[in-house]
This record gives sequence, C-alpha cells and structure tokens, in this order.
Amino acid sequence: MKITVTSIPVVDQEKALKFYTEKLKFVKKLDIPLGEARWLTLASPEDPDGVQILLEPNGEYPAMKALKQALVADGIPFTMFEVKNINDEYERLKNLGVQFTIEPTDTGQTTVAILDDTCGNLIQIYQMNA
Amino acid sequence: MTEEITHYHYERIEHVQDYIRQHLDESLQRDVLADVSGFSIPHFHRVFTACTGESAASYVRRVRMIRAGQKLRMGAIDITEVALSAGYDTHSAFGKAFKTFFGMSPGEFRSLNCFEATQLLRQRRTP
Repeated sequence: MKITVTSIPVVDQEKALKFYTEKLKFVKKLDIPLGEARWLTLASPEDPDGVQILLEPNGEYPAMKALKQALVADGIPFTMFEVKNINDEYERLKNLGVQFTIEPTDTGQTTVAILDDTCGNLIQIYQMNA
Repeated sequence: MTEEITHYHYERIEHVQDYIRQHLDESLQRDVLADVSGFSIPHFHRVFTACTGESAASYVRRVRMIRAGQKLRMGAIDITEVALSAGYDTHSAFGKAFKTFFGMSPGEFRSLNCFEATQLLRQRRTP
C-alpha cells in the first residue's frame, strides 16, 4: 500500500490551481474532466513522481465547509509542506502577496510558518532544523 | 450626539480588522487605522467600538496575544521572540500581559496539550 494522493478541499478548482501553481510553484500533473469537476492533481517540481495533491472540489460539502471554517478560526493548518529554507520561502511568498497568519517560528526540531491559501485553508510550511 | 451604525460602518470596520490581522507586525497607530477605515480618528474610534464592543487598541492587543498563544501551541521555543512579535519590548512585560489575558504564564500555556490550548484560544477570540 502506498500513499500517492493527498486531498486539499477547495470550492473553485481553477482559482486553487492558480494559487498552488503560481504562488507555491507546484506543477499540474493530471487534469481529467469529470462532469462539472476535474480530477486535478499537482506535483512538486522537486519530486515530480512523488505524492500528488488533489485539489478536491468538496469545499461546499457542508461537513467539509464547517471543518474548514473551524480550522481557520482555530488557526490550525489543513496540511503541511516541507521547504528547504523557510525564511527564503517566506520572503518569496510575502513578495507575491501571500498572507501569513504565523511568520517563521522556531519550534526546536522544525521552523514553521502558516499561510492562507485563499481557498479557505491554512497551510503550514516547515523546515527541518539542522 | 448618537449615530446609527449601518451595514456600511460594519463593512468599513471589517476592512480595518482584516488590515490589522495582515499587518500585526507593524505599529498600527490610530491615524493609520482611521485612514484605512476612511473615517476621522474620533469617528473611527466611536464606530469601531460600536461595531465590535471593544476599542481598536484592545482588538489589536487581543489579536496579537492570540497569535502569540498560537505560536506557543505550536511549540515556539523562544518566548522573547514571541514577545517581540506581539509588540512587547521585554519578556517580563509580555509575561505580565499574557497572564492577564490567558490567566497563566507563557511557559504554562506552552505546556498545555493542543486541545487545551485551542479551547483557551477559542474563549479569548471575543472580547
């Protein structure tokens, strides 16, 4: 059994695609029409054959909508991505207009920051400390 | 003189609250916030308090303190850094304000489990 896909709940897949590719620099992997929605996945350019992110159009599902709102209100990220240099990534993203709820913060083994993906999710980025 | 608070006022104050959350590391002086609201300084203060039930200064302190609590919940190891980014010059001034706000020291807060810390943060979200 392998982990190949992880989901991020969104409402507007096209808007999410723009954010995750233009700001976070993921690349589109699969884009398969499925009625009104798409099987839309992204990969990391640093690991193009690795785990894919599915931009899952379930953000309006009432239970998911409630979960997302509660997580944001509590300041809890939906998922997390590793970066090599968090301060560089923080500055790069800030310069692109990405909003952070928590700036890079040393937590011992990791340094973490939390950003707003504009699709109703908080996303944590982290760097493993030496 | 009293003034009716309208949807327009609420919209302007929500805009100011968004601005505050996005510029927490800046000084957020009252003239800047009034300018963001589009009101004069005295008018801004009246409208902000009428719409939110607390002053703008209180709101800024509260949002900064909640962010500090969130950092401690994540396990931030440098309390002085947390204090500085919450707008306090010293660890001791921050500790005093933190205890007033949360009812415990930053060190005690950091030792809470995630659920306990989140419950406490939730309770402090509103004035």
